[in-house]
Amino acid sequence: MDKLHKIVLIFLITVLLGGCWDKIEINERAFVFAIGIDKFKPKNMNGAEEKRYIITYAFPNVKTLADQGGDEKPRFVIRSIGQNMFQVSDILTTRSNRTMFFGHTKVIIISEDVARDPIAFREVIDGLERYHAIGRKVDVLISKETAKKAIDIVPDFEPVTGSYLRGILTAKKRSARFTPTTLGDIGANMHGGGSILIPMVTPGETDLKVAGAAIIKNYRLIGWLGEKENRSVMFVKGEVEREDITTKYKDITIAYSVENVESNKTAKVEDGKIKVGIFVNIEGFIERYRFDAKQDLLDDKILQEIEKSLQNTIAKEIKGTIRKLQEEFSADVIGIEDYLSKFKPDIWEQVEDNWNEVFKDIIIDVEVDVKVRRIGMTR
Amino acid sequence: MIGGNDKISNSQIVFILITTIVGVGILSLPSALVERVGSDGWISIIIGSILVSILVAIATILTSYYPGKTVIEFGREIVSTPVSDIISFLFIVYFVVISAFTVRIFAEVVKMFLLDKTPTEVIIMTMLFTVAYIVRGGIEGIGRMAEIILPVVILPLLLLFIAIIPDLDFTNLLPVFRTSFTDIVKTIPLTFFSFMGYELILFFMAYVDKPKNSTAKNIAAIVIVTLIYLIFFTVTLARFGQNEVRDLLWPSLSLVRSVDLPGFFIENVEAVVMGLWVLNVFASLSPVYYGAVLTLTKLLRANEHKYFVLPLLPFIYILSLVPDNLASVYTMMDMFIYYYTTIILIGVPILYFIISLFKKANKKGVGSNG
Repeated sequence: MDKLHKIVLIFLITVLLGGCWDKIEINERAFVFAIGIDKFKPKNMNGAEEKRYIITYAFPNVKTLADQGGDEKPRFVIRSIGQNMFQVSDILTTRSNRTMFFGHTKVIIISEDVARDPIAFREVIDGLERYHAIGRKVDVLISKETAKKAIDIVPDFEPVTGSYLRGILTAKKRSARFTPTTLGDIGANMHGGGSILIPMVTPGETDLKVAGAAIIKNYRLIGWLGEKENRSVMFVKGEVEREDITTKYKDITIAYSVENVESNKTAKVEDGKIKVGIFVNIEGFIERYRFDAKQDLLDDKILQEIEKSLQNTIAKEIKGTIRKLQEEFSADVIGIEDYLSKFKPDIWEQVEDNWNEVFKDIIIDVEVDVKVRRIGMTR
Repeated sequence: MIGGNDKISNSQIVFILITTIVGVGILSLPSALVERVGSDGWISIIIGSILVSILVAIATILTSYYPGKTVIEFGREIVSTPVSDIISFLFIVYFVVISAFTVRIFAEVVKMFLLDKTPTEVIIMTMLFTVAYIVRGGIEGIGRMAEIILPVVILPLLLLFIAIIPDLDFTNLLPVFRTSFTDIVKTIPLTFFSFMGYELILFFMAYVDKPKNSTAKNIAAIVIVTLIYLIFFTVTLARFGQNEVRDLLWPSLSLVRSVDLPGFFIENVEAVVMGLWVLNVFASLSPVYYGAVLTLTKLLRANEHKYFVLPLLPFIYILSLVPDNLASVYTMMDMFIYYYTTIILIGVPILYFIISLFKKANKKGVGSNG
């Protein structure tokens, strides 16, 4: 190879290998951490049929993340109206010098009115699932007020809404008052009008509260579960990792802390009706009793009575929730469908097609077994 | 003639087989199976692999009757030159179509996940030129490449699977044996053609230096591929559940994308995974491309295969751009597989094997009489 050849080759390499169609400098990217989706309700629709949404994006100021921002704003919020979130992110490029990047999106907040409209909700979920950059592990929340409002609040502890909510949701170890739900869960459970719980977020003054859940059935929001009801669902599913229960024992209120929950199910057909048994085994310790009470806790008999009282409290709670789910919503969010289809396929094949109706009429027995394992440092 | 450089070892054949078979098919296999037979898909993977193992044994024994000759040459001895040459031509068409299909799926995936503004044509061209380069290097280069790439791809994937274990729910594999036997039988073509690429035995065994226990080794390759498929099937199902797997276009890719490395500062490992997958496609494409080039060379009784590499490239390129979209890629491919490939992959080896058995018997008969 002569010299000319070499020179030409070097030129070719520098020219051909240096370029990239898809190059975006990192400081020109907006790392969207939270997305809010609201319904746009114009005053006069002019007969327009298609749904329009207000999409809100929140992204952190990358400079402040590196602790060099000084007095700069910790995060930015930007929003616009459009048919879908991708159209909106394109519209927004006309107003911002950044390119939206969704690879790090942490939470998606959907407002109640979007979730109540089955077509809008399906459009939104499909758009999110189909888009490659949004992972299936993104958490989804439903806002009782507008998603816009939830995102506009700058939480004191962590100004970046996405990280803040993700932080709360991963704290399942501290509370069973919400059921973290990812985009993938929704995709898997909503098929054929199935039911699922999505945690509810309520905007406060300078914080957001995640508690309770929205019940989704037939692709739309049909009602809400309160914090304690959500806890009951978690007990039935055996997913509680840490929860506090208060009960009364001879006019002393006792605080009991749940450490470990296991739940088992059985099912059989009796007189043409499906009978499901749910057994919840709970282990935990006493957090608070009463100082200098007459009987101290180092007595098996007393502990057994406390256990019984706890059992009644929890069983009553669970039964009430299940009754509500069956009678009011007929929505199986307690995993019976899952159990039947996996372990009792014979029963499942008969009811598969109209499960939403059948669920109302199945007989559910709940048995709770509580064990007090520890009583703390004092008697 | 076989040059002094064109020798590979039997274990290299094993590596080539594994990388070729586990190509782009693994992306959609779990969802295709779950859609048809639910959680019983693993049964049809196993049945399919048993059938393929039988064919692999037949093909390997067949090549051992004609050492140093590829199917193009010993085909001429078995079924006369014109018939054999027609079959060889069918093989070229098959290799070219499979290459085009693979490179198109590759381009679609890369475009979706990595390079959304780069034109499909450019992605395809880049891959094809790279493949053409290694194909010019001949069978030895391909063998060594497969040897290097397979562990590089497999080991990180296994590590990722360890990280995914906490997210798995193996009750998703229940219920078992709920699908009727006829439904499972219906999926066997699907799993069988996930093993496309085993026919390269007919071409490459000729280059093996001192073959020994070849049948067992080649079947071992199929067993390893089966294990890879089974792992991917069970893990995807355990991770996502039936409903979601059915919904996903490429569940295997979604699976590796959903990995969270605990305590790792990189949150999305997808870039690494995509890189590995590109390597895998490269290793899957080159033997097939080489198969086409080799067949053409032998068909025209030429000595040097290098001259045929680039002329084939435009055909693959144009064919890969024929389908309008991803849906038509898969529709066209299914048609092609069911009608065309059945003859080539099942018919030809069995036919050749039976005829050559008869010929052997005849020869022996003549010998003992004389």
